[in-house]
Amino acid sequence: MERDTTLTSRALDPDTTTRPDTYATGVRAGLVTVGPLLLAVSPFSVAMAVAAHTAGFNPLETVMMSAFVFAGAAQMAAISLYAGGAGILTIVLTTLLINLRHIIYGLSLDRHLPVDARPPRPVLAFLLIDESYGLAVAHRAPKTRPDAFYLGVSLGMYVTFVLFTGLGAIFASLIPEIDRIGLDFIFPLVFMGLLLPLLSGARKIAIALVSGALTMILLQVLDPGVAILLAILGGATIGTMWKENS
Amino acid sequence: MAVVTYATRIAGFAAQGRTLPDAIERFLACVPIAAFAALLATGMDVGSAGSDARILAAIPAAFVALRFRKLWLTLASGMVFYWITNLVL
Repeated sequence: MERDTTLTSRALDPDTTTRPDTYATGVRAGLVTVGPLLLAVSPFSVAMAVAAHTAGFNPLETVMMSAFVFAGAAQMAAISLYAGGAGILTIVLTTLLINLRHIIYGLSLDRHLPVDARPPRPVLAFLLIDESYGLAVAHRAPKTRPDAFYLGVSLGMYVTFVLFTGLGAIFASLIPEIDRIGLDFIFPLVFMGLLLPLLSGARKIAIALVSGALTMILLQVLDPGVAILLAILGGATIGTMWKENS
Repeated sequence: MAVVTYATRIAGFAAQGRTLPDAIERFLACVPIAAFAALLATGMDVGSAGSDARILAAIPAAFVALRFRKLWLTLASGMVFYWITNLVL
């Protein structure tokens, strides 16, 4: 059986760990690649900070939430729940459900990172979000270390997210309804840009179609975080069971 | 909240770069494609306000993505297409 090697573990490739001079290059590459996304993250962070202010969070609480949780979707959900009077248990459970997909990302990304990742996995794990996972896993340039690239992407996102949360929180009382000029569209664009080049062969197209369809159906009845998780599980299962004629 | 979120993030890294049984490896290799498709579908949010503009903008952006295979170009052209579809619709 021909093994699909497009996404094999880079931990097995000695070249990625014996080029000490490319770490900074990798970080820089990550920062450059994530640049366009930061344009959309900033208004999102500000909008979220404004929502938090409306719900009764003071600026320090809002910034700390962004700094320690670093999960936009979960934070928005928590803010809405809090504003609606939900208890702490509900908020924590909802956060858990929304973020469960991170486990899959961690498993999937783990094999792409060198065994001696710098910074070590526990640190990299803290910064794990949809976009850093997506960009890191799809990154193909052989010269750059994947952990350095991931760090660049993640630092860009983290600093922007926390910084603009702070700015938004501080000026919350001065800002009217945020009009984000549709910058959010950059998020589906990113994932489309990452997805399409990967679709070689019927099996991969099937994975994408199943996952996409499942997502659209599940979004009608479930929270986005849970819908995404289940759709990924469904799509990946189809892909695993698909018999290839090669 | 932070603790629970971090737990989900670190859990997946337990494998520490070692290889796992073949079926699991095959499953994990499918995850990126499934994840991108799910995240794309979530972002497109078909059926909600403004989804027509998103879909119409996504079509030419998809051509750019397949033809040139450069992420920044897909993003830049996609946003331009979106700006246009928003003006027209």
